[in-house]
Amino acid sequence: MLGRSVMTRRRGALLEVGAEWFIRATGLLTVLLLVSILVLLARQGVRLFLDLDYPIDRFFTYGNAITDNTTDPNQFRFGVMPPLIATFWVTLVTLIFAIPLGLMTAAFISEIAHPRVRLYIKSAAELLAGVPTIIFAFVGLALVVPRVNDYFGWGAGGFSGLTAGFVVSFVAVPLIISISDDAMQAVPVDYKENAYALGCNKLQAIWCVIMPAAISGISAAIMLGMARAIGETMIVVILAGGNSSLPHDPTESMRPMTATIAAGFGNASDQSLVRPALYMIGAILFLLTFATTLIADAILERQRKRFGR
Amino acid sequence: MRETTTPEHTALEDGAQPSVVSVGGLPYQPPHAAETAPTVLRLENVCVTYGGRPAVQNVAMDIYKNRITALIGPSGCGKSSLLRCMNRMNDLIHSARVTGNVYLDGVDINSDAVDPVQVRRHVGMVFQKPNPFPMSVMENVAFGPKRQGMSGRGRLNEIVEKALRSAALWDEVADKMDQPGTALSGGQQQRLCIARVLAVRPEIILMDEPCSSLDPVATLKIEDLMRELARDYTIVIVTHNMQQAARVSDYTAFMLASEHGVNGRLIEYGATNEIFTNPRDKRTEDYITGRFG
Amino acid sequence: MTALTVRSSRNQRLDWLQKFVFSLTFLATVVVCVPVAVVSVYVISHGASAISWEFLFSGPARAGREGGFFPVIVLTMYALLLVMLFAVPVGVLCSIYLAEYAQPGRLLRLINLTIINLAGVPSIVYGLFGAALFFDVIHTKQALWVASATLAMQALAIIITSSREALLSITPGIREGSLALGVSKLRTTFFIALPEAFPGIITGSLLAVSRAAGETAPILIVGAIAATNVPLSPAAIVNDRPQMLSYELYYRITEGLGLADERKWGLALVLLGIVLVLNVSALLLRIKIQSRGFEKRN
Repeated sequence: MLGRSVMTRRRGALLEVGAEWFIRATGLLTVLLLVSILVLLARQGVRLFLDLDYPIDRFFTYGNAITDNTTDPNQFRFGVMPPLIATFWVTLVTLIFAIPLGLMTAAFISEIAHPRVRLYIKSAAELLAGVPTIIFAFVGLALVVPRVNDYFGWGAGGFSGLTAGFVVSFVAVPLIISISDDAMQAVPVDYKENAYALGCNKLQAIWCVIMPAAISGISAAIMLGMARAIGETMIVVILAGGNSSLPHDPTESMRPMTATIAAGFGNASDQSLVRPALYMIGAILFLLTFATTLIADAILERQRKRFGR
Repeated sequence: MRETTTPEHTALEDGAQPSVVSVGGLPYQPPHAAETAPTVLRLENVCVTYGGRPAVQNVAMDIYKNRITALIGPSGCGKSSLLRCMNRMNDLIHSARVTGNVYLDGVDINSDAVDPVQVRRHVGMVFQKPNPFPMSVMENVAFGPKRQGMSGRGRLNEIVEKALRSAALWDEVADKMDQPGTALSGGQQQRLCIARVLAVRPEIILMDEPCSSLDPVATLKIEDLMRELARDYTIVIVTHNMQQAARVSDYTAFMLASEHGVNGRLIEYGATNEIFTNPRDKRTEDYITGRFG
Repeated sequence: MTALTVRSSRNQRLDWLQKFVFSLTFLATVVVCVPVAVVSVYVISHGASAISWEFLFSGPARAGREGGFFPVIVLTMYALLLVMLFAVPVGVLCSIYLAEYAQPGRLLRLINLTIINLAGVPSIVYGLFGAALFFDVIHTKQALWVASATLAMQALAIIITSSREALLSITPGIREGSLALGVSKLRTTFFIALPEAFPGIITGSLLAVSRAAGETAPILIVGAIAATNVPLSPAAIVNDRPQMLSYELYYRITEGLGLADERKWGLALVLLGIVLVLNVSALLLRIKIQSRGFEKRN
């Protein structure tokens, strides 16, 4: 009797099995999404070389990135180098501002300030991270650009890679703070107590024990901040200046990869070479951030293993 | 130079007997009338609260030079909190408040003029869990001296070797100096932590249940080491293991979390053999004979 | 014994260094907090005068130079609603898989890595992907749907991450108690675990939607060129090019024609308002959840 009851299927069991498989399928959907982003971008981009006959070496070496609506591959003056270098300059400037700011703030809230202060600052950083970048760009346009122009005269009337990088750093900083603070908090309390018991003052404990122990998390924070800077669009569209030729230093007006896509895409006609070229840039951008994120995660994984959490 | 030494304490340094004083209502008893060693650490009326909750109340005791003093008692009785008063480690806990006086060689280490960092260089501490820093053995031991501004490969090597020899670890790690400290066995790691403290050359070493995460063999090794170290250092050890207290210590202090929710009273403090063979207090006897705990 | 009250010159130097470095870190913290204040104060002080009943609740006149931006605001709300409808169910189901069903192993590791990477993909790349997928593969012209779906794909990673955290932070005992009563795993998940994780899921969804509200780059790509005639009736919006608030702001900033600065800042203020309301409610909800967890532990 009991045996038979255990043997019988519940009503609706089949439906539940179906629902569970559906849930499993949504899990795989994320992988599908990521793969199709790369495949679709690459497919659209590779047309430039296969169907439209734009020479691949020219794409990688040409020193300009003008997005003219032309259908003639010989007339198309487009190379990926200028946007790539521009992205490099903007990212470099961003990191120069964001790393010291972010790490010092993280050290302050994690180790020096009262725990309550940590809560407030982390909330503020989160709000900062939530402000739309178009608003940052607009405020930067009103406040930063005129000052850069007046005091330094960089770029085109204050629009330069440096201007953009400076503003982007305020977008990257919250990310760096949040992740490196987590990393420092993950350092076992034992380490700190031992450092103090060996006669360290607070600064020595932070610099010689806590920071080295949290180094993986801190570097991951920097990598992710970097990925954010590479992918930031609206600020660089509005503030970087938009010069499509190869920039030699960050004070020039320039057009990074994201800005090239954003500025060129809307004006491109369907038949021209512009869209495939921009898709190609998109694919490269994807791979850049993909690699950065992968490395950051590998570093974080090492930290998680070490502290067993 | 601002010395806050009072005449009374100068007398103590000469090895005179402490006078009988009453602190916080508890009669202060000199633990051992025949003791000739000078007092290096004197606690008077020490109270600790965590977020308003009392953990240690009105403790008064003397710690004698080159002796091993054990703090025993049931868990939660405040023995670790008391230990942390002796080198101002409670400073690191935001909610902790310490009152009372702790005289290190006659200077009240709780006074504002005293730098806690300096205190901890004289009073080192070994913790429950062996936790070498994620660095090489060499760097672990050299950590303290380096932070005090010592440099020079030769000089540091000398200090490190001496500390490791004193911690009876040198023979085992002499060829592993560049390996990570975390790669050693648990017992070795704990001795590495002791060596790390020795390298700072403290006068007093506090040990907070140093053997609780070690196997019996490693525990015995640490106990032997403690007896060795007592020649040059004063040791205060917190332990939940009464046999350990009986084996290694010269003096034993018994603490109790009282049944009325009043935590951290020092019930009895005296020479170890007296506490274990002839306790004066009924509660000590109950605890030692295992009737509660 | 060296006196405890006397500090050697080295110690004094160390103390000064510590004071100096700590002041620097404090300064850095202030510098980080300042932009929050500067941005909000600047936007409010320049935009507040433009905000009026007409600005918020009427249609535009003379290409936006007069009248209001009601259609833009309505369309933004539509789009955000659609983003939620697309992203939240899929995101929550995916997080259920990750938290309740997935076994630790290579597949789980792969999916976790995928989600981290999805979160790191630049928004403009999502825009390109959306354009390629919907215009060249699926061939649809429903601009509002396309824009919402693109933003939803981007929102997915945030929703999955926070919902998974919420599900994983439930005390395992609650699930086991239900399973021991003979309730199936699926039912336990939906009737026990999910309600328990609900506040966390809402927090993540609010954050994701607020991100979507501020995103401009993907709209820039899928919406391509701005529409000049802003439709008033909801039906017209569906068939028109998306003109979300963020994009409208970008368009007004860069068009170079005579829209008064005050009106641009007014738009920025409306956008900032929407984003901050969403963000702050998510933040408050999370602090509440955390303090509740704290009480539980003690």
